Amino acid sequence: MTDIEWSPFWLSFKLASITTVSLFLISTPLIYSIYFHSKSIRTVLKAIISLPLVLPPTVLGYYLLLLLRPEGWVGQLSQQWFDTRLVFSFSGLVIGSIIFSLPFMVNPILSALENLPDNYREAAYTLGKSRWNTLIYVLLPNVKSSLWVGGVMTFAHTIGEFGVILMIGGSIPDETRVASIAIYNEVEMLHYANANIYAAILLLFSFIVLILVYLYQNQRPQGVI
Amino acid sequence: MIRFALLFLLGGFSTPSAFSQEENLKIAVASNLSAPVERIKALYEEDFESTLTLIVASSGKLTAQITNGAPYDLFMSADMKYPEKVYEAGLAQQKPTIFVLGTLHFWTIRSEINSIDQQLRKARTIAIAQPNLAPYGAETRRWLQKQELWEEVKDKLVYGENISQVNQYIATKTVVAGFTSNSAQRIEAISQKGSWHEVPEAPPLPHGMVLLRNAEASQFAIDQFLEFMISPVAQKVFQDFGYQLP
Repeated sequence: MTDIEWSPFWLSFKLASITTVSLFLISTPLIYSIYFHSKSIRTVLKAIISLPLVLPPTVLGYYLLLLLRPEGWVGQLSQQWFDTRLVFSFSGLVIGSIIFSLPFMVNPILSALENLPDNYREAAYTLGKSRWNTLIYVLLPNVKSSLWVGGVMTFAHTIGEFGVILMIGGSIPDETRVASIAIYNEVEMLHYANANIYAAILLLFSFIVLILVYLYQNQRPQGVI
Repeated sequence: MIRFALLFLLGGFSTPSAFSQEENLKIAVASNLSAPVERIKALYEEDFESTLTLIVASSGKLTAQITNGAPYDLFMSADMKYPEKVYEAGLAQQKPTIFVLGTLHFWTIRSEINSIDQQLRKARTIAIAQPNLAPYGAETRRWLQKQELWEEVKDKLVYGENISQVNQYIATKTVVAGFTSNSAQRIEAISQKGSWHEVPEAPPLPHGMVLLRNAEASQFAIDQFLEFMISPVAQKVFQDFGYQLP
């Protein structure tokens, strides 16, 4: 057995934090465009957003690999414009995680918005608020609990991400070897003592997150997950 | 919450540079070599300034990663085919060189056996590495075909993604027999279990090493490590794990 490395946890934590913050920023305009669209278009958009929920992570990982590799068009663009390689790098993982965790952020918020009575929105319109301002100042503050749950679930889900990262990460220490990959690695190396510790920490983490979410939910009349 | 997250974001971007002051070599290592190379890493880091980062997977998978632009300095494969492929793709700085030779070994949970054939017929599950990704798996398939056992045992095979996964099946005794590398029986976690047999008439597998074009480490650090690899200290480690030297 070798010494325990803590850097995979730090890396997972960093990835989950960046993903959650990015998704927070990305989701708001996305929710705006879905929420204010007609029903038929909304259905298609919602299906696209929810794809990562049902898509095997390997499918997502495969497409991401094609896009991000040096010959892929996203990979080429990033190489030309920013001189950075995306595949097998932390930035690549961030892109992957944002796509992978997108429904975990958008869906709870969207369904909470759809459950809000229409007169909130209509009242805001009669008072001369634009759609955007209505969303930011009237509707979103009314679904604050869902915002929280979306954020927490995104964070937790990113910590547990495995398949996509396995395909586009390459298990490079301090760069792409996040906690879930580190467990896989330790098991393969027959370092069971280390794998036990890693696994126990993640188990405890996941359990605490869920307890917190349900505790929070118990205080609210309306279910969020 | 956003404010908190931003704090982490800032923290996150500033820390990695603190680690990378000294030189670091990223070495892609075929699974069967992980145990000896890990020991070499420990010895090397005791004596030299630079550090080694090992990325362990099957030779085929590592080759796929390298072709897709993975930022590794060196590639140690379990055969010559994959490093040559890397070289032909223009991703290596020079032709691959043989650094050790490994041999195929058979493991079974029973302590005494008459012959491998008999064990294979009796066994209900037999672990081998994926022939399309792992050279030891390919060698196993070749051997089984040559012995005209392939058709017979085909349905009893379980495939590990690489040799480490085969070893994992052995260590947990989820299989009753398996084909693995010579280094496996020197690994503490599995050496005590069952019995080991060198596979007769299986030729030694030459393992190739190649310096990659994408290498980010300095020539100095790379040379220093390559020199260490051919030093008696490193060579002895390989021998201790049952490898032959070229």
